[in-house]
Amino acid sequence: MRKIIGTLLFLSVWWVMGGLVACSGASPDQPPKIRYGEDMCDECKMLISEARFAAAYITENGDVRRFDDIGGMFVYHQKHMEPVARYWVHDYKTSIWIRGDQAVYVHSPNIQTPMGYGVVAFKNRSDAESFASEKGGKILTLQDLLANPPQPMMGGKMKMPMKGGVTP
Amino acid sequence: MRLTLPALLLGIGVLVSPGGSTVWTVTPGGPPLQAIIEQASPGDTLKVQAGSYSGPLVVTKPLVLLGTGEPVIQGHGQGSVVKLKAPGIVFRGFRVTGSGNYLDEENSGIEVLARHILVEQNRLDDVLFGIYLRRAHGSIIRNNEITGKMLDLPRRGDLIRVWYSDSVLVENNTLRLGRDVVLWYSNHLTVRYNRISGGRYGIHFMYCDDANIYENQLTENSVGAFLMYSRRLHFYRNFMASNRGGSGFGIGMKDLDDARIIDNLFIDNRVGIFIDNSPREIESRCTLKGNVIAYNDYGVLLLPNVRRNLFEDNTFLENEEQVAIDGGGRLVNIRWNQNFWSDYTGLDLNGDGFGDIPYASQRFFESLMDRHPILRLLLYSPAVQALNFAAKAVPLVQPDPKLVDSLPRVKMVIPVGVPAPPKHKDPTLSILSALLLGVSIGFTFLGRSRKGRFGSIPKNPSHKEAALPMSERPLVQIKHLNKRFGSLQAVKDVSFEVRPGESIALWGPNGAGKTTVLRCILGLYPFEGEIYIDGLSVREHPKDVRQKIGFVPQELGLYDEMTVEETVTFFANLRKVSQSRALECLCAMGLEEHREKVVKTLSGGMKQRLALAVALLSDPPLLLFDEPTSNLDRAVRESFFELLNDLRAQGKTLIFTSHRFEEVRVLADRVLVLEQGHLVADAPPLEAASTLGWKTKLRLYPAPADLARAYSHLQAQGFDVQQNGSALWVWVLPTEKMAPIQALVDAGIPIQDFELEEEGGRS
Amino acid sequence: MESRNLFILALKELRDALLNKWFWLYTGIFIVLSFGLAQFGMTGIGEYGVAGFGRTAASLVNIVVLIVPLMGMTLGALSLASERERGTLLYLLTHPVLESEVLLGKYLGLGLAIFATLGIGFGLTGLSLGLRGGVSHLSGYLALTGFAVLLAFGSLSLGFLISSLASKGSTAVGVAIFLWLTWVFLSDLGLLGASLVLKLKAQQLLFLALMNPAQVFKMMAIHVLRGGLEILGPAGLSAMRTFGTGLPWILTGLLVFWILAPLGAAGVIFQKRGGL
Repeated sequence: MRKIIGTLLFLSVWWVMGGLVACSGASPDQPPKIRYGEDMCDECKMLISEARFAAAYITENGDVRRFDDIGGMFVYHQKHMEPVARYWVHDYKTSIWIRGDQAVYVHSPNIQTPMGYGVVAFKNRSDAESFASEKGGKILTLQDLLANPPQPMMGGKMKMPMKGGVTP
Repeated sequence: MRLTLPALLLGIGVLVSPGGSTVWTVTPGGPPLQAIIEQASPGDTLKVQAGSYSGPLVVTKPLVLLGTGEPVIQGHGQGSVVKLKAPGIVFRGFRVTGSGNYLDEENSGIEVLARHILVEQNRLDDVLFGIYLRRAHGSIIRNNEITGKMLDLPRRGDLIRVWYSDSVLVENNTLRLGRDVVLWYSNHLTVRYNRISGGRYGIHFMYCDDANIYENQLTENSVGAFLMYSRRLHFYRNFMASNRGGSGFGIGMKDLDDARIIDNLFIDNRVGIFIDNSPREIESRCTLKGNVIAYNDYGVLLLPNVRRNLFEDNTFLENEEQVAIDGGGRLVNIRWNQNFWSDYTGLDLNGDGFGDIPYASQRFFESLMDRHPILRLLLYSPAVQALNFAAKAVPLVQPDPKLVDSLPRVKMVIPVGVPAPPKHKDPTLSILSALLLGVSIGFTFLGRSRKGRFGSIPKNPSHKEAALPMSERPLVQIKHLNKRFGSLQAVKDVSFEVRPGESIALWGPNGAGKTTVLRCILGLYPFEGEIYIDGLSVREHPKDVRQKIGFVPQELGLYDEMTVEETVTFFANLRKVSQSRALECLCAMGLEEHREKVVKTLSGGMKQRLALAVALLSDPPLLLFDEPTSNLDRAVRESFFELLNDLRAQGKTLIFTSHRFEEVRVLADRVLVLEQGHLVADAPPLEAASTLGWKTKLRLYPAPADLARAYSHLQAQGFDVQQNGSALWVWVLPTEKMAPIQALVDAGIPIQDFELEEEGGRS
Repeated sequence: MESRNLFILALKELRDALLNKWFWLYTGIFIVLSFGLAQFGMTGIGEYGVAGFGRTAASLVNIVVLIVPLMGMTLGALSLASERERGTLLYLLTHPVLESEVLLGKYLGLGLAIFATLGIGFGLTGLSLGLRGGVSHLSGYLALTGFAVLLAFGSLSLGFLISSLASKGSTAVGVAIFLWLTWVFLSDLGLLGASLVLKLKAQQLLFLALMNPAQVFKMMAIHVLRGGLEILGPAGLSAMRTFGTGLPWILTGLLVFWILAPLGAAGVIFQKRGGL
């Protein structure tokens, strides 16, 4: 009897340890899960509904941040400055996950995105270029966007800095 | 009044009103509706009769389209169904159905693409987008009923969309199963009296200034109203309940300036009011006044950077967390004044309607949760309540108050005039609850009935057959029985057989293994070796074997709280014996007049007889007794003993343990002697006693004068003798009890009296 | 195994339970708390006819998490051990019944008794809610009742496991109360401490919490009442994200596991040990 209890105890300790290790955080190499229509955007707290605009990043701690608009991701990152292991965005054409550092971004006030940032991502440079010329947009890289997060657009124009600025 | 030529050609009725415009009557059998639209002149009226008409319909001139009897415009699942492209169109009384499914193309029921269009009293269903306004300033969307497509939320469209359209009135529409009512880039809107449910954002404002939003019902959406990037929104007397989707806000306020949120009801949402970066401009402030915020998971959820808001005269009723700060911290520059707080513990002794001490929101676990949201998992756990309680008791660990309301109300302020859905009058819950209650109480009565007849009794109980005398086969066969308790070997390699009708005594000192053997026979615990009762292995057929055995233990395990009758009835049921047989057994044991008595109150002898009555229920061929008379006083012991003798005479097979030689001698055919688990002898009682050298104590009473002579004579004859007062104690073999008396008589020493003391024995 | 014997023994156990002071104590507490709560929580806001159903139900969850495990475990712990102590268990087993029949019969009887307690409590509360018009969450309320019964059966199983090991009723009850304390209070405090000190991830906290049937019940109850676990923060979201639509099934499965596993273990031990 004592032996059985000992074995059970041993097994359960291993089970707990194993479980804790297995749950220790998201791997940056796996695109994160988003429940469309249910998950909230970490930046604007709205629901993430459309995959092609959705973005996410995985921090070095294994935490996942999710966004309904690629532009929102850069705004959020600028506010929080967390060390990021990987950025993930969707290919606008196919709505599949692609690595943020390998994506080609198009920015145009004529692209309607959920929060009006006007940024979408492409896997292929050629797709991006043809879309940019169609919408009169600029081709950007991840580094560009990290350095200069896009501003939300108001009525199709770039929004002017607010009177008195953003809340201190 | 005259008929125009084209109208005659088309074969439809046309009336011209005195003003000069024409009234066309359109019927389903006639020419296509679109053709008539092309035909009509601006300002004409089309009276469309009930029936089905094919879409899409494009109206490019200011016509009045009036449906009579709800004509259907059918879009056949392609594109948008109706497009209104000229200012001043009136579109009233239609059913519009079957738009396309493409989100990208924004397939709609009705597209409103010019100013001052009135869309009224229409019913839209199976449409992706409902009514879509683009640059439609001054239009009115009124009294429409719009139902979206049964799609997953991300694939649905907006049931009303207002895009770059100022001064629009959206009034008294009923919307179900859409995505949002979304209003972008449009100023001076009025949204009132609408009922919106089952969507994503009931009302969603983006970049719309100076709107009035009032008396809407926003229920069961993901978010009731999500208001963003707008100035001077006046939001009042709206009813927001059960908005519990992903974000689950009653109202979400993001980047709003000078918003006035007045007299609304926020009930049972995940978050009553969510505030992020509102106000954003340094001179503006938001006012939240007179609202009822009740039964939400969070009453108000603020981001820590929110400043310059006024919360006044609101009622905070029983929210799981009245006010929460996302990410923890303290609120700065937010005024809380004269609100009602259901968790306020102060009093109003001066009766001015306000509490005498300020309300401070400082629950220990709440501030912990605000800072470490992961801990929310532990919400509702008793440990959390205990923690809050402990923190209250020990003020040292109290967190800083999240907020302080210096003048809390002690009575709720309920706004009037807020539209609310009619009270549910569904009796289902009451009925089901009553049913549950009834069944549950029924169970307790089931348990309380003292006379239970537990199921039917088989017609031909098996014990009849078992009671018949057996063949030559032994009733009990024990082969190499071993039983070990831990390191103690209680029974070592015991083998014996008992033939039907035999009576066997197990003899031996305490700890010799007698009781263990009995328990093994009953299969009460695992053992090594084989035991067969009437040819059945105890190990494999424990139930059948126990049916053939009646057992009376030494420590009676009867249920104290049962009556005598209940006891026999209970065991009779387990033994599949009829009620009448149970009564018969009671009578046989002389217990019939005690049947109502509770076992606890019975004397030892009566309990013993009750146990015997139970043992006899199934008329088993084999009866086991463990020290049957040890707990009884002498008189009772003797009458019980007689009972056993009767049973033996009836042909029962008996196995009993005993340490009274008298019982053994009278009752047993054979004695099995156990010593330290070993079977050391198996013989008739006297023989066993002789071989084992057991001696019986005789007390002889010679005349006092003869005492010394008798003593020395017996000693000389080699008897084991001892003088004790006026008596001589002589130990003899049970088979030779007469010998000392004979010896004394032979020697001419008379014996006046003698006693036999057979209990115990001495070897 | 014979259903007839199960029935006889279950009825006997049900009767015994109704003679048990503990049983009535728990029943009284549960009924008073749940019914009182309904009265309190449903004070409502006047003319709008909206009352705090969700809040009432959530507080019911609280009471259930606190009392039902205590009730199930102590009653279960007493069941075999007290009879063993009095010798009635040994005597019972000399009759033609199997250990498994005794165990299951007792389990069913006590289960029925606890079901009656919960039924009276939930029935009264539901009636009070229903009569005041708080019926918008009918299925949620019924599901809550059902899962409370599952939790009760799970704790009863644990109680039986304790009982199968203990020789004395008092020992068994002591162990049961200690386990209850651990299970309901200490483990949660431990989780709280661990997540603060070790900076646990949401998913790790969830994993640890899922080992506690009381937490599982709580999550399930919130899931049926609130339509999701958002209220439980990142760990709740993590549960929804990891298990998706399978979440209710997994939670139910865990509760069922807590019914079957301890009862099975109790059965094996009781079979070996018998009435002694």
